[in-house]
Amino acid sequence: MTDSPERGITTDQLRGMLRVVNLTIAEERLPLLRDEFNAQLGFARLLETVLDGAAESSFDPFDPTFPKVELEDAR
Amino acid sequence: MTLDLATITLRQALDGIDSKAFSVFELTRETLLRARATEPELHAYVEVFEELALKTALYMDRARPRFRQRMPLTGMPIAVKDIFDLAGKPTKCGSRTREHVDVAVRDAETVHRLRRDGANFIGKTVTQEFAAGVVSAPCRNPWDLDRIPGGSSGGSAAAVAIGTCLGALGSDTGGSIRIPAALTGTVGLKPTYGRLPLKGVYPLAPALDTPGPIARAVADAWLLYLVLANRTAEVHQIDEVLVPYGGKGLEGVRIGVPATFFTENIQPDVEAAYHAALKVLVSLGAELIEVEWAEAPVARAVAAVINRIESGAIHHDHIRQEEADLLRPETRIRFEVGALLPSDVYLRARMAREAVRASIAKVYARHELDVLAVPSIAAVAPRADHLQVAFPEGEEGVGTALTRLTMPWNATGQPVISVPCGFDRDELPIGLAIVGKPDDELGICRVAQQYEAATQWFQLHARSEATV
Repeated sequence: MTDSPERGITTDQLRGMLRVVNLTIAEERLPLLRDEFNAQLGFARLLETVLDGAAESSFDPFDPTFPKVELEDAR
Repeated sequence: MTLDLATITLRQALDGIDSKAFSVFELTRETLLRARATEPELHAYVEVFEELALKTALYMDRARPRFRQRMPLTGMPIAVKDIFDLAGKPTKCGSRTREHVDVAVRDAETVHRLRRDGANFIGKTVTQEFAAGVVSAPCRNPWDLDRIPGGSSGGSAAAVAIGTCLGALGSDTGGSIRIPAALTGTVGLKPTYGRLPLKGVYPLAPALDTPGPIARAVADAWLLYLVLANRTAEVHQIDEVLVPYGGKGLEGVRIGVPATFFTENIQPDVEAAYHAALKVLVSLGAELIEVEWAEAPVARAVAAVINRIESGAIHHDHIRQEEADLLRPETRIRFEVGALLPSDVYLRARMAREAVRASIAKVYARHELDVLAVPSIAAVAPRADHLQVAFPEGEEGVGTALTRLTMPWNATGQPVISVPCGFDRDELPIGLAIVGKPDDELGICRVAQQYEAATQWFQLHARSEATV
């Protein structure tokens, strides 16, 4: 993949992000990491196709009751 | 009944012990001898517990007259993927970062349930590092030692396939039970997400992680699932409940067949085996309904993003300390990417997950489906020395190639069983996936069991004597 911002982040942008999350990456690994990151960004963009106007699902309602606590875990 | 570990199933072994055809000790000894013979080339195990397993077997033979009714797995040789805690043994997760980790103090809950119901643990099996990938090195595929077994539960599936255990515990975050099951000609059951406990299991992505059994036959997988689900009372009715629909085959069963995504760009032999399997299902009386699930690619994306971000967080320390160099390069980069993805992407993925779950629920409801049938994965076992997979539209990396059909079901959380459905031109196994509605493990096992009974693919076993 080329260093093209249209297709994801650039290597320079990646360097900045790495500083923010306190990750140290050897320079020679940056292109591979950038490509992997941009591939995941591709997935992230795909998510938006189902989020516009999607109805809230009742598939997995939040259960407000306390979970069961075993005695040994409560100590 | 003869004790032939190349072919015997778990339930046949239970019958053999019940009928005194052989003892637990004899079964265990033969299993361990087989492991001694095959392990030097197969590498399915991290450690085989020879002495412990033999001592346990002796105890079980003495105790069996008293405990048989309460221990439905009495003496069965079971293997455990090395991300599950097993008391007294280290959980190394296939990682050099855990080479010197302390032994586990107690069993994982799923391991405890197997032990409580009589399992005799033969050993811990090889996993891809932290269950994050599909290669499972150094384990190889018993059908062809030049090929990988798939993963990440590759050691568990290879051990079942070769007969150095009769059932194994695996885990599935993006396909890690179904992929190795399909590639080794075994049965892999991924239960509904959230229904089996994860306590004592090293996490990869907790919103997706799902423990489950790998076995040689559908009834074996169902038995192990009942034990894992704390439903031991039902194990004596397996034959009754697995013979579905009044003994009329699959009459009246509505099986959805997705028109796209699951059959696009898959290997031709896999496609041929899949269509042959559909014909068998029709011959058994099932009705096939072509359906469209347009959100399948998004479901895959949901699982991929959640997997990356959660595993990046779980391994926050591993990638920031000196020990990062101990990680395999492919593992390290996965976790680093996960750590870099922003939180709003995670939130959007969780929201999208609900949307794709709603969309697949509508597909089932609209067509009044009982199950879906799809290829388990798009390819047969890749070569270990060439981790690229050839498809009609070109080559893909092994990770993408083996997970793109499995990950959607991790996003939806549905139960899936992979059963053998034939072989390719090189005699490598191919898997058929039966996908159920949430909590319908019995429904998918019934369909799979009928298919299995009609085809008998499961009776063909890895060419152990020839290749190992």
